[in-house]
Amino acid sequence: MPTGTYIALANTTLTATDTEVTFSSIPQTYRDLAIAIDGTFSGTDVRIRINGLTTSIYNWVYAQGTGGVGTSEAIGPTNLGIGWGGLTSGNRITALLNFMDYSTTDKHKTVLIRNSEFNEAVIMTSGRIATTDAITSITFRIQNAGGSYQIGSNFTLYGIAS
Amino acid sequence: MPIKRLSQSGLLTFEKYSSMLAGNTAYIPPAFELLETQIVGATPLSSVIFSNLNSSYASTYQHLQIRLVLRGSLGSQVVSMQINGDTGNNYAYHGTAGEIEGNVRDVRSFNGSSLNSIFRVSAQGHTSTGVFGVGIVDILDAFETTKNKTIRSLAGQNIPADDSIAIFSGLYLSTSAINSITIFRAGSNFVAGSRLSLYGLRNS
Repeated sequence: MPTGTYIALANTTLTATDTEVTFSSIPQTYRDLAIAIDGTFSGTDVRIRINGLTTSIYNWVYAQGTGGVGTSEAIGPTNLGIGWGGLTSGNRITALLNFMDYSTTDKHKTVLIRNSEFNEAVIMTSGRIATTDAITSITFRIQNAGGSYQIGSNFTLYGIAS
Repeated sequence: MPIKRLSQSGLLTFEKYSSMLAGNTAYIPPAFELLETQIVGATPLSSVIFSNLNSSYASTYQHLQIRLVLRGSLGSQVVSMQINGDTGNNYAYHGTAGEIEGNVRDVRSFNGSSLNSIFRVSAQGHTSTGVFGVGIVDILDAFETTKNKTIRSLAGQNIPADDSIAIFSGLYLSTSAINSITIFRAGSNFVAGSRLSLYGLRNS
């Protein structure tokens, strides 16, 4: 019997700027998570952390096209990148994140990201977070001090069963 | 004596509705539904097959999605997808990948004309047993009989000195409805914990 899924779990639209946005107490009744982001960000380097972990467990590789020659790079280690941000260039990030097997405890946590960043780049990212703990919270942050998520930025969390 | 009218029931306040919904909003089922999941157990599998798709799902779904969390028994590998058991030269694909191998970083494009290569999976030889490769594969108009079949995927793996993120476009040169999908890597197995889930996107 098919099971309806891709269920909206939480939605946040900022009414004031904020340095961090967190989905907490994420239910463990799904297998995958998807997060859609549409927002603008002051400061640069839009990043995420899970479960409040700040240790060197984040491994990620991205490839981007900027209209010139494509580039790729592997980066770590204390958080995981989504995009560049930065209001000075009028950037607006529309990204879809897919966390796979987030609720299992036998695997490192993995995420696939597609980000279309106006005025900057189209970016795809694969990330692995070296913990077998289930994901219970996801925090969006700005890497560079002083950066913030701007009013109107929207974050929506979905659960996907398996 | 049976009560035939609510006004005779003794209830002082009540509300009457002309609709069976009684003021509630109609239930609209989600358009994205889980159809099947296969999880590899202790015995490694050389392939995973989703079968009887046309007879089971064609009347309800327009598109299919497969979400994969895979780990192979050999080193870093390209995983392939075969449709309807067709082993002929009826496939084509293009891909772009960002890769880090050792200290070399690279963005490269590639193509092929045999089986659809969908992505790479993590290596069994990696020291940490929890490392898996992941992918999301969309199969558009899976049951249409007037179109060749098109596939897109996004997939990645993160192993020290062997990271990759790749996007693929695939083509299956057949207008036949898709009845089976085989995910495999020749000469290798998927090991315990590997997971393949099939979803359908409703057609109305």
